[in-house]
Amino acid sequence: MFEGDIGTRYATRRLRALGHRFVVEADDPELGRYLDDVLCGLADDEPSVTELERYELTSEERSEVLRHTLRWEGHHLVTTAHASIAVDRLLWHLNRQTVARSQQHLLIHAAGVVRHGRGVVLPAAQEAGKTTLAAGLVRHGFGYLSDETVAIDARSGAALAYAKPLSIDPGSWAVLADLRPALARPLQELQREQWQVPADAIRAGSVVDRAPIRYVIAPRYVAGARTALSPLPRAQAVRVLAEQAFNFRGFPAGLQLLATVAGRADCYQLTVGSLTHACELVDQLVTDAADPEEPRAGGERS
Amino acid sequence: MTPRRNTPPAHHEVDAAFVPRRSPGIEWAELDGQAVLYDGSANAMHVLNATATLVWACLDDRTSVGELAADLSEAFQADGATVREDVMATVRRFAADGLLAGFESPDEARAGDDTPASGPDAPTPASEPGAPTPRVLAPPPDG
Repeated sequence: MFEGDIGTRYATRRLRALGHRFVVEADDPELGRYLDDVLCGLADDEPSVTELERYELTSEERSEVLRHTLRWEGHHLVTTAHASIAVDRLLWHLNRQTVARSQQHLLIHAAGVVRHGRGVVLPAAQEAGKTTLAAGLVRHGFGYLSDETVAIDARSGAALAYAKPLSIDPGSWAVLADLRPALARPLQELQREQWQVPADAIRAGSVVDRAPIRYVIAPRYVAGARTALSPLPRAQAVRVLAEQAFNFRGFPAGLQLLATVAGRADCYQLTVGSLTHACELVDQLVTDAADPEEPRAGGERS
Repeated sequence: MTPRRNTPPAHHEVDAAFVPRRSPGIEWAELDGQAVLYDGSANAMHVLNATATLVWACLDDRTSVGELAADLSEAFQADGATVREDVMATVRRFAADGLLAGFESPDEARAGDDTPASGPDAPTPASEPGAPTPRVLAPPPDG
């Protein structure tokens, strides 16, 4: 498999999203390089694996209008006049395939970050602010696992990375303004509705493969609210994790796995009114616990 | 002594003679004195309070509600009538939530009967049910 320019086509490096191994080919080299950059957190370092699924992004002028077509394994996914729609569909399909190909893990709809070797899982529903918080924490010095799906390894209980680019919505652009991707003019259309920011662009070397889960923190963004961490009973944390799992139903011994994870972790709810303050609170929590000189406190922090 | 009864009555008719048995489909774990139960058939999760956890942990397929209440009353040196009332309410709630053998989960009951699973005279909730919804990723972006 070639990487980079192949004649007029461009192939990304080999990529791996948990159990989903793939490559993206684009006949627009600029678009191909863009995808290679934003998906760099998924770089697959096991070249011995030859079974790769293939996405193809082709551009063709029809009736003086440029049309972009996305295919996966030869199946047509979308044809559109907007490259941004084709890229959004690619990332959406990638999420779905990652979940479908990784059923050996318990998959939690959560962001995941790491500090001092301690994994922090942030389970929450859509629009709770997972991506914004993960971006803020990586910028603050945390390692990155995912902004969307944390996989729990059934044997060890560790969190495994799905280090997709952080998909930052317009509502968070103001508080994360420094993370705006600097794209050349033809590619600027791609960030019209969402920024795709690889963790390495926030802080080089921030992607972490796996980490033991030491914290379960359920975040919730509430505009104007006082930012506060409050203890969450472990049994409630199990429920939150189960509610946010993609494949809890039917997962072998899923409840026992979540009970083991929660039993080893400190569990909290985090109300986020200020991103900066939330990042400081989480950092302080994890750093205090990592420092044997500091006493551990189990109460509310704000 | 009241004769023991193994046949499940309607949940609101659970009495001191009833011998509660956990539904075989329930997985459960206990963390910091709180039980968390998963009912796979209804895809429902329940987190029990401390009292309900104690009652749940004591269910052994042999002990009747009345005997269990007497044991707990003695162990905690608490008022017998109050303990009996609490245990009864808790077991009825377990039954109403489909956590005991022979009782349908509320979803199953609703499928075959229009009667609400809990009414205005339902006991104080011992558990906080919640359904882990099978998650589906958001629909594809437009286009």
